[in-house]
Amino acid sequence: MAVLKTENICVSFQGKNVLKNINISFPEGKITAILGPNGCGKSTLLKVMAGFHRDYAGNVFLDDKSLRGISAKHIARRMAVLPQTVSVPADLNVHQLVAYGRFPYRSFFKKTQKEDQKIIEWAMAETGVESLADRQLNSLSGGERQRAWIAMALCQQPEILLLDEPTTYLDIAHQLEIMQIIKMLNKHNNMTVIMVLHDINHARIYADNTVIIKDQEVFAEGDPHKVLSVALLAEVFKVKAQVFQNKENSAEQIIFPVGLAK
Amino acid sequence: MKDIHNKDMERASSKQKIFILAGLLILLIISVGVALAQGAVYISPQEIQGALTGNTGANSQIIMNIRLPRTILTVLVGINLATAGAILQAVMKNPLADPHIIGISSGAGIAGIFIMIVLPQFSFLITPAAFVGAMLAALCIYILAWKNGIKPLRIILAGVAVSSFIGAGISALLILYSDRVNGALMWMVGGFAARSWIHVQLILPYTVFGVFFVLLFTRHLNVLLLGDEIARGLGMNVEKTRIILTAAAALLAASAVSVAGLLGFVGLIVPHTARLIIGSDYRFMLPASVLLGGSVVTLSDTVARCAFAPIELPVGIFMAILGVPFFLFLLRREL
Repeated sequence: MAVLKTENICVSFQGKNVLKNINISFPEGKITAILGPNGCGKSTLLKVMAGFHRDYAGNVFLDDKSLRGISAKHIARRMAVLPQTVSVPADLNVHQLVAYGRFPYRSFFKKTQKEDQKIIEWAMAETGVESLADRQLNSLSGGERQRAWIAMALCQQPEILLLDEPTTYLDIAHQLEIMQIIKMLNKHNNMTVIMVLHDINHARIYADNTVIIKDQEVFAEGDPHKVLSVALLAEVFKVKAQVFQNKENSAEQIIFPVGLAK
Repeated sequence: MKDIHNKDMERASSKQKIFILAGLLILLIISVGVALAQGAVYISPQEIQGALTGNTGANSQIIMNIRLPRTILTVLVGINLATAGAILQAVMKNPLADPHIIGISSGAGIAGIFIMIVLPQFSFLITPAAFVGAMLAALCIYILAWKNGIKPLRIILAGVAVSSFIGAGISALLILYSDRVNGALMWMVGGFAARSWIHVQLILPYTVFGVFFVLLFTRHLNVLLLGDEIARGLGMNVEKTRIILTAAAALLAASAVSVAGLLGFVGLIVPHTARLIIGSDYRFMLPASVLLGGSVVTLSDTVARCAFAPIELPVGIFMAILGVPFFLFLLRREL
């Protein structure tokens, strides 16, 4: 079943098409990776689905209801979104940030309830940031900071998690750490994850489904092991790639770009 | 164990901040006391107490008819301007957003001056007109700065442009009606000379309603500090919240301008000082700005009255002398 669906999404900016006729169904409880070259429109697509960008033609359906007819608060209780880079006040600490995830459940006169506190603690435990609760966000390493943001998103108790390049600026170990947290959230909480990625092998290893965007349109979609082929990389990214066998796991192949296609 | 430790830390820092707020409240009370005691005649605390509890006599007259209304007014104006500045800084995502710098006060100012010197028979309309002027200025700034969202730099540039434009309008009015500018000139620099209970009545409802209203929005302001996308993602109707809060800030600034004239820099220096003292969490920073705003304007007005007695400096000049170096300090520190 599709929990989030786009229907003929078109976006243009200053007379130039940014997205053309995007029709995608995102399967419930699965991880979908969106890939494509720089400037293909994938980040805009994420912004449209997140409700950030509202100047578009077509429709986004959340549980078969058009996003245009749903309040921001209601969306926030179903779907959490993490944009790429966010600047925060210098003295904001991790606990405060994570607690903001309860914002969609607050009303004017309600203070932080015991239940909220429990959810905040649960979210920090899931992402392993409990020991960082009093640290200022800006003093953390990139990986720790990203985990704190994911904890905030978890506090929204979403069924869908939208992430824009969650591993950008992270070293390889922290990239894997974030991918594993995302996989764990998907498995344990049946969370639907939709994320923009750049790493082909992350998509192959961690995603159940992939959407390739090229020149503002959907170029291919489906099982990442089938879709992300040497031929596709040549056509979409203009790179020459080779397939390597993971010696520890015979079922797993690694695709490595060895050079630019001629 | 670790969880308990973390919660204790959180509580400790909240407790610390409440102590700071208590300290700022004491500062405000002291400022009011000093303002009541100091002036052409020194009046002792006992006499002040006597006057407040119904004694009559020359000094009681001074307290009840001159110093008390003036002091209350300085507190209220300080609260309004500081609160407006604190809100605008979050809503416009700019540390330099202050009702004076970005032209909201000028909007209120030109409307007020227009009524004062062109239509003096409608002087009861000064506050509503100042409010409309402030809102129109805020609207102009948004329209000029809007291009796929609000960028901090565009806001400040649009604000400076609007402010200069309105400033030209004010100058034109003052020149065209040069025979009537006397009161308007005093109003331009801002001051509390000859203010009385009427003015207190004018501004009090705006302060009480405005401050209570914006204190309900401290969580919204905190989330807005994380940017529009995060705020939207957390379920906030960003545009609506921004319009409501800008309207509240314009109302606070306009009512302050209508009783005290174009008093600059309070809206800039007070929220920044509050932030330096208590941090950027608006649940604490906004009340701190309220208390500090009241104190700063009250103390400044007292100094302006007493420093060169019997000549009274308009407090606006004094605030600018104080404000400009602080403004430069901020520029060096933050940019």
